[in-house]
Amino acid sequence: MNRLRDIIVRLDRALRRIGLKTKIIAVTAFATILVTIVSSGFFYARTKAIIFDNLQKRGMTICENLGRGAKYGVLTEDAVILGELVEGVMQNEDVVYVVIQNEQGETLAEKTTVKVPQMDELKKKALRSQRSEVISVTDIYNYSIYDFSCPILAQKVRLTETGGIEPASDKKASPQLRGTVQVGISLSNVLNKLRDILRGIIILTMIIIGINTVCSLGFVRVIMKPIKEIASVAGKIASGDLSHTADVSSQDEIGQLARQFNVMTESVRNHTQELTKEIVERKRAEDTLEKLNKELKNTTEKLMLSNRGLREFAHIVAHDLKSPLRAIGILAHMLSADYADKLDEEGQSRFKLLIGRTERMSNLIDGILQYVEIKRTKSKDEKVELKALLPEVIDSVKSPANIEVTVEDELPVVICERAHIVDIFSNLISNAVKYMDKAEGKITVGCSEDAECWKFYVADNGPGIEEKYFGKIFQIFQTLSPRDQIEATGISLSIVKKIVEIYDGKIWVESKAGSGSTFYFTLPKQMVTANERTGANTAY
Amino acid sequence: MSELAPILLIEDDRIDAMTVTRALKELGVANPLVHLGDGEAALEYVKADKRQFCVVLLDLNMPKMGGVEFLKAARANGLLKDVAVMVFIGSDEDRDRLEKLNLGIAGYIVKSVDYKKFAESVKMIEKYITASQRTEK
Repeated sequence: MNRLRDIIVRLDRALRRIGLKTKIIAVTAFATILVTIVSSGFFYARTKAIIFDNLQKRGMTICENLGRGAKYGVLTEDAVILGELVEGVMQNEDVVYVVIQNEQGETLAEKTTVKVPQMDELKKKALRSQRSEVISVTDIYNYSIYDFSCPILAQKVRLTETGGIEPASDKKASPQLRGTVQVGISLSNVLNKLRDILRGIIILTMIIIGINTVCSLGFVRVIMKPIKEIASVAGKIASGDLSHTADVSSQDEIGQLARQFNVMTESVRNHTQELTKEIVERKRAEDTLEKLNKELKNTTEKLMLSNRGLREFAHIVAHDLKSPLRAIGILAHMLSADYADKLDEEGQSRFKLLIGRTERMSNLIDGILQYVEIKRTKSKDEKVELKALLPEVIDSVKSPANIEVTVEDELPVVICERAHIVDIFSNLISNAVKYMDKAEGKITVGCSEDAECWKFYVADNGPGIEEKYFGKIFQIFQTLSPRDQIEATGISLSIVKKIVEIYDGKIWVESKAGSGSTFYFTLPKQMVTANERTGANTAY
Repeated sequence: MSELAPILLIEDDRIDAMTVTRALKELGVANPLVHLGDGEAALEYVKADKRQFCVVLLDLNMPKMGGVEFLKAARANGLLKDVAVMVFIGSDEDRDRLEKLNLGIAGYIVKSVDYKKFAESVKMIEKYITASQRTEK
C-alpha cells in the first residue's frame, strides 16, 4: 500500500513539473496509439480470420473434389488416371503435396514438394468410420502447412463386358470406404500477406502518430502563444512595469482571459497611479508637516532662548540698576541725617521725596524681576488645600482693622505650585485692601464650579473701575491712581494674569464705578483638581 | 577681656561697605572690621591670617571673584570652618538660589534702598556677634 502511495506521489510530483505543452502532446499521443492499436488489432484479427477461413474452405473443396474424382481410379487402381488427377490438383496455388491411398493404406498416386506427414491412427480411424464426407484439418510444421484429408467413398462395382463398370449389388447399398486423399496447403503465402497487412498497419499507425504530434504541436503552440503572452506580461507587471498589455486577438476562452487580464491590468494601473499620487501627496504633506514642525521647534527654541535671555537681561539690569539706586537712597538718608541741623524743613521734605522715589524705583525693579521669574515647573506641583491656605494669605496681607476679609464658599483642593496660588490670592486681596476707599471695607473670597473649571472670585466694596479700564488694569505698570496718592507699582494684576494663564485659566473683572469690583479667575479642573477621581491620574 | 575677634567684610561697593560700617557703629559693635574689595583678595587674606573672625559678611557680585566662588574655595581649603558667614542679597530669589547650593550660610542680609531697612537687617549681625562672644566666655 505504502509503495503504491509513494509511486502515486512521485508521479504526481513529476506531472506537476511537466509543462502544459508536453502534457497535451503526451495525452494525445497516448490516445492515438491506443485507438490505433485497438482498431488495427481488431482489423488484423478479422482479416486473419477471413483469410484462414477462406483457405480452409478452399482446401476442403479441393480435397472433396479430389475424393469424388478419384473414385473410379481407386476402384480400377488405374495409376495413370490417378497420376493425372494428382498433377491437376498440384496446379492449385499453395498446394504442396497430394497423396491418394487405397483402403489398405497403400499409396496409389502421389506428388509432393515437401515431406508428407504420416497420417496418424486416430485420423485414419476417423476417416474409416465416417460414412459421410468428412474433412480433417491438421496443422503441421509449426502451422506453416494445413493438412486436409478426406475419405474416398464408393459402392462395390464390377466390370461390365464392354469394359465399363456397374454397381455390384443393388443400387440402394451404401457406399463404402475405398481409400483416402490427403492434400497439404502451405500457409506461407497467407502469412506473407498478413505480414504485409501488419506492416501496413504499423506504418499507418506511425504516420497517424506523427500527424497527431505535428497537429498537437501546432495546436499547443496556438493555445500556448496567448497564454505565454499573458504570462510574460504578468511577469513584467509583477516586476512593476505596468505599461504592458497582453496582445491576444482570438475570441475563444483564452482571448476572453486575455481581455479580462488587460482590464485587470488597466484597473491595477489606475489604482497604482492613484496610490502613487496619494503617496506623493502624503509625502509632500509629511514634508510640509516636518518642515513646519522643524520651524516650530526652531521658533520654540528661539523663543526659549529669547525668554531666557530676557530673564537674564532683567536680572542683570535689575542688579546693576539697584546698586547705584541703593547708593542714592542711602546717601540721601545719610545726608539728611548727618546734616539735619543745616537743612530747613523744605530741604528735609525734598530728601524724603528723594528717598521715596528711590524706594519706588526699587519696587518697580523688584516687580520686573518677580514678573519675569514666574514660570511653571511641573515638579513643584503639589496638593494645595485652599481652605487652609486662604486664612494664611489673608493674614499675610495685614489689612487694616476697618477692612474685613471673609471666605464665603467651601474652597477646593487644587494641584499647582503653592507659590503661584498664594501670589494670585495675595495680590488680588492686597490690591483690594490698597485701593479701599470705604470706612467699612468688605472683601469676600469665594468659589463656584462648572464641568470644566473652578471659578474663584475676590470681591470688594472699594472704588470700582470704569469699564473702559478693564483691559488696561491687567497691563504691566498700569495704575489708575496717581502714584503719589497710592504707592503701587501696577505689577500685581499682570503677575496674577500671567500665573492664571500658565494654568490655561482666564481672568477678568466685573465692576461698577463707586460700588466695588469683583475679580474672577478660572482654573481648569483637569489641570488643578485633586479630588479622589483625578487623584489617581495625578499620582504619577 | 581679650581682644575682640574681627569682623571680615568682603564687599566691593564702597557705599554698601560704608552703610554696614555705619550701621554696626550705630549698633555699638566694637569689634575691628577688616574690609576687602573682592573674593580673591579675601581668600589670600584668610589663607595668610589665621586669626579667628567672629563673623564674615560676604557680598555676592564682586569683581575677580564673587561671593559664591569665594565661599566654595574657602570651604575646599578648610578655611572659615567655625565662622558664621552672612551673605548680602538683593532679593528673596537670591536667598532661594543660595539655599540650594548648601554652602553652610548662617544668614542673609537684604540690601535695601532704604537705609533704615538696611540697618534693621544688620541688627542680625550684631546678635550673632554678641552670641558668639558669649560662647567664647
